[in-house]
Amino acid sequence: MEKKKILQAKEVVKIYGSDPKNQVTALDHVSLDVFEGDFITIMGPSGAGKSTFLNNISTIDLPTSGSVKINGTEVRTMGEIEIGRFRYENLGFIFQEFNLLGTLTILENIAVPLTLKNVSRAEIVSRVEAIAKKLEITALLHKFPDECSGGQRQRVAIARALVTNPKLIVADEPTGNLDSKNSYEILKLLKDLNENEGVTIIMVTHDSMIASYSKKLIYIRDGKIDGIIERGDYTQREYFYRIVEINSQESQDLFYEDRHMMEGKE
Amino acid sequence: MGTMKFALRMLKADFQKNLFYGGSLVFSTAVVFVFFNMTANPNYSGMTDMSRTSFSMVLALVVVVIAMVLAFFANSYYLNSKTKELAIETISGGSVLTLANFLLTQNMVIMLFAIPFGLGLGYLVIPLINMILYPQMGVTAPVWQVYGSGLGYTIVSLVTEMVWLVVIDTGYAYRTEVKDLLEAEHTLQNKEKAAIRIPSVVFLAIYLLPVVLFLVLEVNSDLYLASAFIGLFGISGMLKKVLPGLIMRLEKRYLNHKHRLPALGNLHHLIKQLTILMMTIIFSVTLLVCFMSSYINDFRQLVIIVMSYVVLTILIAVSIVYKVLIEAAKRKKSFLHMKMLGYVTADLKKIIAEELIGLFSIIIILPMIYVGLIFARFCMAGLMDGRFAISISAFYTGVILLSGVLSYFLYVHLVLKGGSR
Repeated sequence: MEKKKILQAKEVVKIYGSDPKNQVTALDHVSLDVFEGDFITIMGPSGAGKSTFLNNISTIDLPTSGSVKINGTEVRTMGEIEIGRFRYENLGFIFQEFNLLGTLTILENIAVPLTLKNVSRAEIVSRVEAIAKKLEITALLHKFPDECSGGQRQRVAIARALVTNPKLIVADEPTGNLDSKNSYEILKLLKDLNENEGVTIIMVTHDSMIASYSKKLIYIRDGKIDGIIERGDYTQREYFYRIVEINSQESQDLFYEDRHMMEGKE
Repeated sequence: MGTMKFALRMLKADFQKNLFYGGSLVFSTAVVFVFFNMTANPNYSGMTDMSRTSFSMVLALVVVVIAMVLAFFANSYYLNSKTKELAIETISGGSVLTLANFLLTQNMVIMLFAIPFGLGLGYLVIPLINMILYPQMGVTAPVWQVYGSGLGYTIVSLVTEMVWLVVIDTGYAYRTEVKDLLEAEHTLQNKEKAAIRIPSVVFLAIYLLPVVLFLVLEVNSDLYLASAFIGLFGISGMLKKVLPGLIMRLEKRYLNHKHRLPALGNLHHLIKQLTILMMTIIFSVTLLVCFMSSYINDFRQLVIIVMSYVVLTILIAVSIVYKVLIEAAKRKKSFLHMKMLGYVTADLKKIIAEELIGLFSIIIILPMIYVGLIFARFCMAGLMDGRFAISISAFYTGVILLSGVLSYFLYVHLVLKGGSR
């Protein structure tokens, strides 16, 4: 069965700086197609443009040029109100710092996207309780974020991202502030959501182990896509080793050059 | 570059912020000078000997204390804005002494400008007040008179204030971790303090009891004062328990309202952070109105009480604005995240407006119920001029409304400028 294209980014360019002499090209003609049910990880060295790319394809930032379409809608031409509606109807965000609203309870935090959609109070309570049960955070609903642990807060952030049944989940270093145990629990959760419920996920991470939970890896270097790995039939371990290899390619090349230099001297 | 040079350079770079802080110190200094001069002026105190005190002189001293509290609030807001610079100093190898030196250098420079300006402003205001009040009191005396003892007490107070600001700034440099300085945003504290559990209805009853007493008791300022004291306990409970409980119930009711839900959440948090200031202004206004009723026929005392009322209202209102801005600064990221969830700028402005309307409505309504009743009974008994009562009430309401409007524009500017689309 042919999968539906959720996101199409074509020749996206992002340049920072208005002075032509001091401009930085963060993204250099990057293109990506995302289909329903994909679980894509974006990796790369620091400053490569990973988060920039994620921000530009998820409406948080505006590309300098190129096209970004989500569900067939070109996001660059949308006004502020359209973008707002587009976000709560189509997207779910998960961030490294959880980004929960400290003055609202957990229940209210999860409910926020539904309040934007003008859903009735009864339905809000019902949907929030359902998602809380799925993510095992029902006991937290009447607490405030600062009364919860990091792992709990990230589950709450995931609940908020999922409660509107979005077309696309965008996760920027979702395990960046978590310990190993919580990190793997969160990734297992995302993997289950992707495999069992067909949730489409694009994730940025610097951790190869975390990345190995995905189905496809996009490697960005210097604002360009430098490599793509599809998991396909690989086991998670084999996929992980391929990710490690692409991540360490630059370092390995240095060793190769060192060896070459020494051979030349001899 | 030495610490002092760095401090002076950053002082120039953040000119607007420093101007705001300096302005508060100028105002605070002017108030302290004016009121100490009034306490030393025998035409107001009715005495030539400062060793005897009258009620109004005690009141004037209270105003001085509140003026200094404003300076501390302004300093607190100022310190909050310095976290990144302090962090850079620390991670560059600066010690506690380096940080203290940095803060003290900036503070001293600002005070060196602010204090003379404040004294100058006070010197200009003193004759204006005298020109208005001397004819009313039938006094013929030079209006430009500055009393040595008043100036002396002013200088002692300002030195005390400077020393305390030094202590506070050094303490801040000592106890604040680098990590906290770098992150700048502090966790919003939501935990309730453990307390004796008194049901909300008890506090509501205690708050309403004086309302009944004002209506049934004879028109007597001492009785009204005693009733108001009872009511103050109720006001405390209203702010700490009744209103927060009501807000939480409203949050459940407005769970599907995209503006009201976050506005109520923010209001709940803001009331917790501002409880002491709100209690101070409500207590002050209520008690001062009772004192006005008591001394309605003693013009000299009444003048001091009214002036204290005016200055206290302004001082505490400014402190409330500062505190609102301190809390608003912590929410900048939250508002950015709300944009990512789908809120637009107009939504966020509405949320801020609803939050502040809630806050300043409480600050107006809670005392005005008492004040309105006290004034109404006195006016109906022919013991007070209705115009006086209306002026006093309108002044308080006007200052608080103005504070609310100012808070709104500064809050919006603080949290919504810049950021992502």
